[in-house]
Amino acid sequence: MRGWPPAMPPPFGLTARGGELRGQPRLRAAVRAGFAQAGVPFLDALAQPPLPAAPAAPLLRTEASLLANWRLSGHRGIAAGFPDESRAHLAAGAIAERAQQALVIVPDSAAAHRWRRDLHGAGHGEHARVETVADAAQRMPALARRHDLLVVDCPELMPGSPLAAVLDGSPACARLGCVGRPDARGLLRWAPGLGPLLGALDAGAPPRTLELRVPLPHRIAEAHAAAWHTFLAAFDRFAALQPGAGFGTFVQQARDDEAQRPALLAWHEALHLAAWHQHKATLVADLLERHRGERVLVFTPDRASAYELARTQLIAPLTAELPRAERGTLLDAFVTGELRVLAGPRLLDLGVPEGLADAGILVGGGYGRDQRAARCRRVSPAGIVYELVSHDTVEVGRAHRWRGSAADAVLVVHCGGR
Amino acid sequence: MPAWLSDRDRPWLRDLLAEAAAAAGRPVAALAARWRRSEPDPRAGPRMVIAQHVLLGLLRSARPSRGPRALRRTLFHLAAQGLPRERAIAAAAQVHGLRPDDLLAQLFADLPGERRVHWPAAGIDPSYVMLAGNRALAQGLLRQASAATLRLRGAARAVLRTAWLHGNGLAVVRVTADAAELQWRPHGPPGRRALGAIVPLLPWARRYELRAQCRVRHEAGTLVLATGDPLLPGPEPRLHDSALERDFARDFAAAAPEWDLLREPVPVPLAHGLAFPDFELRHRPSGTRWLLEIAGLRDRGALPQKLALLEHLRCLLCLPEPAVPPELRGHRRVVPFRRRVDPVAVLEAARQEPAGTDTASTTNW
Repeated sequence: MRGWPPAMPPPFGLTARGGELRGQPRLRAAVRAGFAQAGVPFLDALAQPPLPAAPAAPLLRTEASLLANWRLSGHRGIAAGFPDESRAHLAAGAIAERAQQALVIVPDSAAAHRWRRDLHGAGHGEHARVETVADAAQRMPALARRHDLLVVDCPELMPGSPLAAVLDGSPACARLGCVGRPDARGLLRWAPGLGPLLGALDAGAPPRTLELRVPLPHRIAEAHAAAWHTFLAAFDRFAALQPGAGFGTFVQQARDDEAQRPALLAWHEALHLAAWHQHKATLVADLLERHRGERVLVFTPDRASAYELARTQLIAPLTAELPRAERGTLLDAFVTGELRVLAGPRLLDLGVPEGLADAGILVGGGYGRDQRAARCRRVSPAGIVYELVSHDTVEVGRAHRWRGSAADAVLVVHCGGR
Repeated sequence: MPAWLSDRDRPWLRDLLAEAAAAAGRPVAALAARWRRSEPDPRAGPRMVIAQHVLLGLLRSARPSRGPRALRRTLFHLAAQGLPRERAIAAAAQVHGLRPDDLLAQLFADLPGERRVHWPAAGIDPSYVMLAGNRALAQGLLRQASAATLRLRGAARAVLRTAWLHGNGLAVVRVTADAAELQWRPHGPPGRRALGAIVPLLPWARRYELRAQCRVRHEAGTLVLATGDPLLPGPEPRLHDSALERDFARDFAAAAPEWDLLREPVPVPLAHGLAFPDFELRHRPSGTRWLLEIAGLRDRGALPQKLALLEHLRCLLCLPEPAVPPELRGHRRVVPFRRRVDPVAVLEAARQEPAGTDTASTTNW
């Protein structure tokens, strides 16, 4: 920024050097506000020409009320707990109100596909550019000059570093964030980039959850026990030497320490063995048979298990390796009912509209509470979620922690002989 | 200076290649997993991982067929219609003229994680793996760089264009008659990857020296890449931008055996930015040097930028005769041409007045 009056103090976060202001592009709104407050005329080279009159989509009362709050808070803020459909309505409403080109940031390509479809349906397909956070972080210098409204969907599912690159690198004055739940720590973290919490919706009752504990096959159990022992031996030593340090510190140290690295590899090995084995495969086949003809999503721990299920059960896998066009076709086929079952590790989390599936099968693996909640939102409230956990492994406790409550029912399932 | 892969590594490379050849038809991922779990070869040391990385990349880069996509579409839609598994497989196999077992084996054969090893009929030369491994080693080390300086002579435009397209912060700090000096500072991980992206182009330069300050784990040092290092050159950059330049290079080599011709030697800083003269002419006996720009002027709007090159005293400018401005007719460093650039006219212009002399003997550039 050039020509900043020397008599005026620079806005917080920017430094003045001889009439030149330097700082992150996200502080453009503060610079504009500073000029406006001082009554100094200015030329904003980043300002976009207004869009031709955009159609205003009909909004629900909750959506209209949130947009009113957004207006009052200077076109910045976060909406929590709004369903996917409402998020697209909010984004469309924001575009119509500001008459500005929008950049919509989503966690993955399947979510991008869904957003493009929803925005196209709302008549704003040409007024918004949808990018995954990883792509946008790399291309922010080029994207920055082409939008004046930033919409971020599910920041809780995005890795911190690219998200920060997008939030700090975007000069958009108007910003809208959509999160799954109003988590205080997350809201504090995103507030500088997105704004304050504007409103939260109660997501309603989640679908019924049935936890199925599956014993490990004999040989897998032995390998799991050996790996677990290797990990625990090192971790116990670490915990005795550093009583206050947590698992994260152990991981950081073990990465650089050749003596501890086998323990870290053993931890991953144990998780891998518990996440997918023959007994879980048999149980998934039984569940698919039970729900034949219904819409079912199978959330697998990795792509290898998705391909294995595809070969044995003839269900279409959805992985990042598939060509983009094929992924879009599969997601559309699931929406229209042409395909009734999809299996995949990550892209189903956000790619399928909320509440569309009749049953969800969480096979194992996963990346925390928010991802689990996103997966469960794909299943209709009247549906059922099966959570397959390997008996007597770390999966049992982790499932409980991520769920945040007890399951509606817990069963121990024995599949075949040992 | 890295410990480059060289002929001493041939014995274990031969075994590694034989192992990869034996895996033909099996998934590349299975081969990678097997190598991950195998005992380290004492002859190879840490260089084994580099060679495996290069070899796996080579095997994965084989162009996949588009067939499996159609197989998947047919099979999963037949199964979704309620056909039992065996009948769905048989029907899909019949549609595509395959045996049921082959259909399942080929179902995901186009995906990177499931791709099969296709061993080329002519085999893979261990020397190629060595050079490619050295390039990967250099690129890996450059990812750990915190600062770098590059001295470059020749292929300047190709190197700088690649660097800028990748968005790295390579900036020209000094240009001498001998070389351009460029400096690099990191702008996050993409910038570090971008620095590595210029490595395949460096062997195409007449001379280069890249010095990078690197920190790998707890050790710091300076990585030096220089002319003659055993690095695999990337795809050959286009030698000439136009038929005009190509014809001139050929005619000039025939007409002036005492002169050397170097393509795109160094960038020239001008008021509007950098310019990249097409050639450097160097008279071997006297060391006299000239920069030469051949302006075809398909876009007449580029004329002012081409004329700006005349500010540089060592630069000759070849312009189409109708495009030469009246005030520059008869200019000693403007060579008009009609359909082809006459090398004799260029030589006459180059002999008219003295230019910079060769300093190669003192700087070794």
